[in-house]
Amino acid sequence: MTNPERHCVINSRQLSSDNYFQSLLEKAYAQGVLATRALEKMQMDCLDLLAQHVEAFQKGRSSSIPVEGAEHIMHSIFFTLGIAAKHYPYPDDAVIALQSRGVRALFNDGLKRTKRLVQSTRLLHATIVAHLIHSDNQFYTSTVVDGIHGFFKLYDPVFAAQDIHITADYPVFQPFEKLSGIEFIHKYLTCIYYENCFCGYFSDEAIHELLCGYSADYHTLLMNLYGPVLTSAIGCKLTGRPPRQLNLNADAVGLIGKRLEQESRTDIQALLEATVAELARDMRLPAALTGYLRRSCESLSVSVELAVKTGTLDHVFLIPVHGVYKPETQVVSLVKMDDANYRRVVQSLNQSRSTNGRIKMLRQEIHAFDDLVDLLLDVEWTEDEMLLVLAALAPAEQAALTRLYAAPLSRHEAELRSGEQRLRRSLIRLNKARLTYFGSTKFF
Amino acid sequence: MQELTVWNSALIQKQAVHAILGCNARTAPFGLILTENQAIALEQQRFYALKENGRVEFGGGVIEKLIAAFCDSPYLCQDHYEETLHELLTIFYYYKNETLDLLSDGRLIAEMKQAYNGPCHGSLELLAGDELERLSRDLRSGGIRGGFLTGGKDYD
Repeated sequence: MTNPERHCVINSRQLSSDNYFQSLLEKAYAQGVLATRALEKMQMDCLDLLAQHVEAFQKGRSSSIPVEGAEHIMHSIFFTLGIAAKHYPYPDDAVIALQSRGVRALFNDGLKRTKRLVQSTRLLHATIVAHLIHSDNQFYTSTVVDGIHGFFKLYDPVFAAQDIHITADYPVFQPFEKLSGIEFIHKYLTCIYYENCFCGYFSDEAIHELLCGYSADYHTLLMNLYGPVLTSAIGCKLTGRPPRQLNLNADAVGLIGKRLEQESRTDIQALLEATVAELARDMRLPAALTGYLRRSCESLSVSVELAVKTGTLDHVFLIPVHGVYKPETQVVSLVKMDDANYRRVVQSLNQSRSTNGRIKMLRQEIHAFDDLVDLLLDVEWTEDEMLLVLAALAPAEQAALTRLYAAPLSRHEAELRSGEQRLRRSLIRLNKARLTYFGSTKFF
Repeated sequence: MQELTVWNSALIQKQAVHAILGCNARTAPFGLILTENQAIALEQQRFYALKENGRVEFGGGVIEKLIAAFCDSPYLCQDHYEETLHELLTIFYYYKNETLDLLSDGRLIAEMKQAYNGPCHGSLELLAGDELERLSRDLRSGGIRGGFLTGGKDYD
């Protein structure tokens, strides 16, 4: 917590969140905190750092580099220095540290902090993915899971720490300050974490039906999912309906409209915040999540006020479309085992003569669906063994395999590898046996 | 507010001129000597060539590498030694860009020397306009022209 009594020459609000280090030096020089000589020394130190980075980047192959390349590396250095400088509670302290400890020491600090931030952001991402709500919206999963995963694959904290690499298509509800590199991704994922966490309090069905009230094609739209859910939950609370059902109707929206028609934006925001507090108490939401919800009320009050004025409140407090939810199972594979381990498992399975032993080994060794598919194809199973293996799988795994190999194929059956043909035949046999057993029930 | 990105400085230039003059010991047996003024002009040419080709260099060393590579060329004599070095320097940075930095400094200098002493017979026009142009085109299109990259000595 900052000390309000302390007088600072550099106003932290005037510093850019994105280009923090450059703006800090600019302000420090303009305010006289930094003398010309000290500024020149820092410039030279930055150039030394740049020269060292360029040499490492080129791996000694080339002594020159295109200006754009050098500028990119320089921005990475500035970003890292900015991370270190932001750690000081006051900008003045950061400038003093720059002078007393030197640019290089601060850069090393910043690099350590950047790498730690990468680690903590990875953990945050893993937590989000593990508890991700199921949504048909294609941008939600593709950005939060695949997009962020791609970021971590490409991110280089040494030579391109300011790069974001991905477009982060899915919009979060609350706009936040302009940031770069891992700082942006961390902030973005923090928002996603809270939003996903809140949506997790509602059933997939309720969310789907609510969003269908916005558009039947919401799954193809680049839209935020949390905003409508929060708005509807607040609306339900305001009209005495159970919030978890997200079940507003035209009458309820009319009631909300009447209640808000004479209110100013400040009053609307106060009402929304009070309702969020009640909602948090009823739903026993954690304090941090409640804080995020409360902060969302500011943006929400703007759209609610506008909707009241234009008579379009049903576009903000959505009325769900019932009977459109078709639940489906998704199989998400975990990380595949490494190649050496995989070869060992294949060898062990091929050497084992007991069918029960092979099935037991398969269940013990395999944790990822993709590995299971590979082993079903690569290990030498007889068709009877394969049938027993498939029968021992969970229904979701059987369904996913059927979708992959037993459903009508886009290519000719003769084009399949022998392992794929064996798996297909076994799956068809398994499903026929099921159909016979369950009479007329159709599974797929 | 002063510009943070200062790419050149008098001190760096002075060090570079000193390094260029240090090459005289090596080139003297071939009858090739640079005066201090010529070394300064060469260093300035390096600066202009870098600027013209949108590149920055730290530590220098390319002029010394060019001198070391070309000093034993049968097509080089004291009369046009400085002028040739100016040209070679410009060609070098131009083709660093044109070859998309795919070749290391030493490799590119080796290719330049091979072509200059070989098919170009000491013609800088042929070197810049023909041989290196072909090399860079091949590299950009993803292949190496057979027989050009000779596997000769790298000047790294």
